[in-house]
Formats: sequence, structure tokens, C-alpha cells
Amino acid sequence: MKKNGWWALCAMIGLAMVLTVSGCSRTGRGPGVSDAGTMGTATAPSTTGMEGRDVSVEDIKALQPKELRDIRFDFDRFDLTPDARAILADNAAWLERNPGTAVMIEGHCDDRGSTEYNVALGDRRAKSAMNYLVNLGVSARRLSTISYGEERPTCMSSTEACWAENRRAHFATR
Amino acid sequence: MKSLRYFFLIHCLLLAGLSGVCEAKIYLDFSDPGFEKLSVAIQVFKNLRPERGGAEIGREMHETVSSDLGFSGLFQLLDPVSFIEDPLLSQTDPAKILFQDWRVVGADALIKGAWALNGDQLQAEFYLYDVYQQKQILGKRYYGGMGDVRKMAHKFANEVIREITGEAGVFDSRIVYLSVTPAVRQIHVMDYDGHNDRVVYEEEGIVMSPKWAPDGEKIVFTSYRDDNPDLYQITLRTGSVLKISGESGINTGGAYSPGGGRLAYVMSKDGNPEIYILDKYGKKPRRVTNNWATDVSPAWSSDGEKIAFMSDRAGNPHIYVMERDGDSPYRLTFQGSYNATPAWSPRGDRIALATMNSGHFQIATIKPDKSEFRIVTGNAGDNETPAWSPDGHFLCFSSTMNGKADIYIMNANGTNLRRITSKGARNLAPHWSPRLVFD
Repeated sequence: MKKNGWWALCAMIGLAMVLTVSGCSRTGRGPGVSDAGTMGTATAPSTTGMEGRDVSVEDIKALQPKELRDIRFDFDRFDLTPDARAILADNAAWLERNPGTAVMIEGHCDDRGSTEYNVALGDRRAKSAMNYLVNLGVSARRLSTISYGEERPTCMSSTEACWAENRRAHFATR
Repeated sequence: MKSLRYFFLIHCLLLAGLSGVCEAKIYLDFSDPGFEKLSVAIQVFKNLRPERGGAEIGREMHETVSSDLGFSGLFQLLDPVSFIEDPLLSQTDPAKILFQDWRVVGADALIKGAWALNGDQLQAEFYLYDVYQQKQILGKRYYGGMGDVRKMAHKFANEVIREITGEAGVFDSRIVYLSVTPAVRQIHVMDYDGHNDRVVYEEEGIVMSPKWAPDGEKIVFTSYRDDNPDLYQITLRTGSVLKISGESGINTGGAYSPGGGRLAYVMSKDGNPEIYILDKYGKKPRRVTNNWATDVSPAWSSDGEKIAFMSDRAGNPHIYVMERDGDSPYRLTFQGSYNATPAWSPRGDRIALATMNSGHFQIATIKPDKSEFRIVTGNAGDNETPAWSPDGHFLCFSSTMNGKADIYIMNANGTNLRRITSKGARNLAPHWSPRLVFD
């Protein structure tokens, strides 16, 4: 847990650097994670990039994500995109700061495909997100999953943009 | 030579010049692509006690028999306007029917009916005649109440089909389906032709995939009523709802084996969605797929020995078939990139499914040996969730071909398409009942 706390801090600082230091590499933002969706070999959090600027506590707070954000999926996929992993790192950090909060991870699909298959796909999306958060150090006891399949779209038109919006995992606090 | 019994008989008589050489019953082969429809004249049904009223009863019975036989695909219905015989002078004794008048209008077969009200009791009788043989083939009398008008007509139509094909019709079967509005989701049961629609279950939350148990008395479905997709069963007689499976993760796709003994369904409690089967006591779910892939939508073969299902184990979702214990799985569909919702014909010869074609679902059928893949719906809209009639001759499905989703029925080869729901809601996921249905 301690190690992951460091990760979360590193992620926040990295985010701060992205936003404040021109030319900072985006790859420095999230924790290192293998393509298989599990944590990569743990390495000591790097402070490279912090030199030359004092980051105040206030700055970090201002840049912290204020809420849990949805992640998106490709059509008929439940593996995590690089964007989704970055958001999950932010969500893990948020959960680190809000230790009393439990989260229901909702898996959702667009309305293409069969209803039953989409319930299964949403289940796998929610579990992908949960497994990743657990690997980032979030206690599995704080997390649960539910699939809504294609039954709870946020966007109602038949366009690629809308379908992409509906293919998501949503993090509901409770 | 037509395979119709009537024509076969008359041919025999002409060719042999003998009576009685062709007494063996010859049935029409429903699936023979060469068969020609039988022309049938259905005379207006006669009110035997007109002073007691009820003219609409006769009209409704006539409409029902006509509709059933028309939908069967076996008959060409002749226009009553052309009929010569005065229905008021109609006789049912073959000796008194002027069959020549029916031959002139082109009828191969003739149907007559008569009925009478006695208080709130209804009595009806129906007859089928062979116009060429000039004899009665079938006569049935029914007794019932005012609510049995359509049922009597359906039962007679079933017998007509039995007389022609050797197997009774399915016109007294029903269809269960989902009706979805933003506010409420309902499970409806209706006659196969869309009449007598009623709500058997409703809630504000998500409900999906209602399917009949083979006894016609219960319906298994998935509901989120306990904030998880769990499997339930409703008993129609009592309306009581029983939770069958409420494991963590999904509990979906409930499908009873044709004998009724075993329920196949999907759970993800062990990680990813897999197919399980309950024992004959409804206990001890046994996992029959063991795969990293998503395995859903089990569908039993008519003999209960095999299960078709949907899996993405090859990357895209396709239909697979396995033994009921999970052995010997093989991939059934190689067409398109997304095939869903298999349904195994009660005749065993075909599996219906929804296949993605240019971004839209169409209904297709394929033989279990992977041959003869055929798309049987047109190109308009999405056509999904096919289910077979209990005789395996027809399919019901949900379609947006006319805009909103509604339930349609058709011959399994795609002909005789009919929309049978029209009310405001989105109507989805139909499933055709077995022959025996609880009333």
C-alpha cells in the first residue's frame, strides 16, 4: 500500500508537471503498467522532472481530479486503452485520497450487438477496470462491479461518437 | 404432379380409372420447394340462431381461420366475392353441397362453419371438404364461452393443417416478448398472431430475455430487481416469481432443454461469462464451457443432446455447437463478423441466428453441419433474436424494419412476413411457446 501511495503521488506530480512544464513527456504521467493489464515491475518512484520547481501542496490539490472519471472502450473490446489506464491511475489516486468511499464499477456497451452478449461484455469491462485498480493498490473490498450491457446509454443517437461515449466503465461512489 | 393429397387422389382416379387405389394418405411436404399452394374457399360462417345475435362472432371466427391458414403458407385464400353459393342457403351435408359451384371458382378445398349462441355459451362446428372428391375430410365441433371465439377457430385451423401435412398446426401457441419504455419494462404474452396480449410481469428496472419453459406454464427471464442481472422464473398461473440464480456477476440467458429437465444459463461468478447447466432438480450448476472467451446465449438442440451458443473465442462473436456436457465444440458460422442469438429448430434441421450484415442484423438460418447458410430477412432495419414456432415451420423475431422495434413472424424461409405488435413501446426478444400452453 505504501508503495502504491507513492505511485499515486508520483502520478499527481507527473500530471502537475505535464500541465506546468512545457515539453514534459506524457509517458511520465501514469505508473508503469504492462500491456497485460497488470502492474509492471515495481521501481522506485522517480523524482526526475521535479527539479527546478517547487510544487506546493496547494498546486497539487488544485490539479487533483475532483471526481472519478469514466473510461472508454473500443467496439467489442474489454481491454484497456492507454487513455483508459491513465484515467484509472487518476481514479486510483482519487480513491487513495478518499479512503472511506466504496465504488460500484458499471460496465456499459453501445447498442450494437446482442443484448445478452453485451451484458457479458459489460461485465468484462467492469472487471477489467476493477482488476486494474486492484493492481494499482485499491482494496478489492472497496470495489464491486455490475454490468448494464447496452441498457443504460448516455448518448442516444446512432453515430460513432455516440457509440464510443456509451462504451464505458462508470465509477459510482456510494 | 403436385404433392397435395387432393390432386394426388384425382390424378390416381383419372389415370387408373379406378376408385380406391390411392387410399393411402399422402401428405403435403411443407418444405418441398416445388409445392404449389392449395386454393381454399372459406365460406362465411353461418349463424344457426341469428335471432340470438352475435354476428361479430362469426366474422371473428372466419377472420381467424382465414388468417391462420393464410399464414401457414400452404393455402391460397380465394376471394369470397367470387363465391357462387349463397351462404344463407349453405348446407354442410356433402350430399347437398353443389361442389361444381366451388370447382368453378377454383377451389381445391372448401371450408364451412356454423355456430350458435346459447346464453353465454358458444357452440361452433367447422368442416373441410375436398372439392374434387366431393367429400368431407374433417368435421369438428367446439363448445365454449364467449372468450373462446378465436381459440375455437385456431383449434380447427390446427386440425386442417394436420389433415394436410400430418402434423397439427401451432395456431393456439403463444409468444412471450419484452415491451420497453423509458419508464417501465414489461413481459407480455400474446397469441401467436398478436391477439389477446397481456402483461405477465413488469418493473421499472431492466428485464431481458424472457423464454418459455417447455411446460408452457413458466417463463424464465433476467431482471435487475435486486440490483444485479439475476435469473428468475415466473409461474403464469400464480404470477409468483422465483429467483433461480443470483450469483455475483451476470446470471443471464436461461434456456430450458426441450424435455424441460435442465436449465442452461450464463454466469460470470468464476471470472468470465461461461455456460452452466442445472441438474434435473434445478440444483448444482455444472460449468460446461471453460474458456477465456465470452460464452453466452445457450440454445438446446431438439433432442437435448447439443447446445448452440455464442462465443468470441475466435476474436469476433460467432455461433458454436457443443455436446451438452461441453465436449466437442465446433464453430458453426464463418459468415460475417458478428453472429448472435442462436435458436435451434424443433425439427433439428436448422439453427436460426442474427447475423451482422453491413452494420445491421439480419435473420439467417444454417444447418448444424455448417451448410446452407441463408439470410431470410430483407435489408431494412435490424432483425434480431429469432425464435422458432414449436413445429419448426415459422420464426418470430424483433425488427426495426418499419421504424421502432416490433415483433414479426414469418415462414422460416422468409415468406409470409407479418408484424404482430404495433403499440407504442419498443417490442423485443420474442420467444415462441411450446404447443402446450397454460390457459
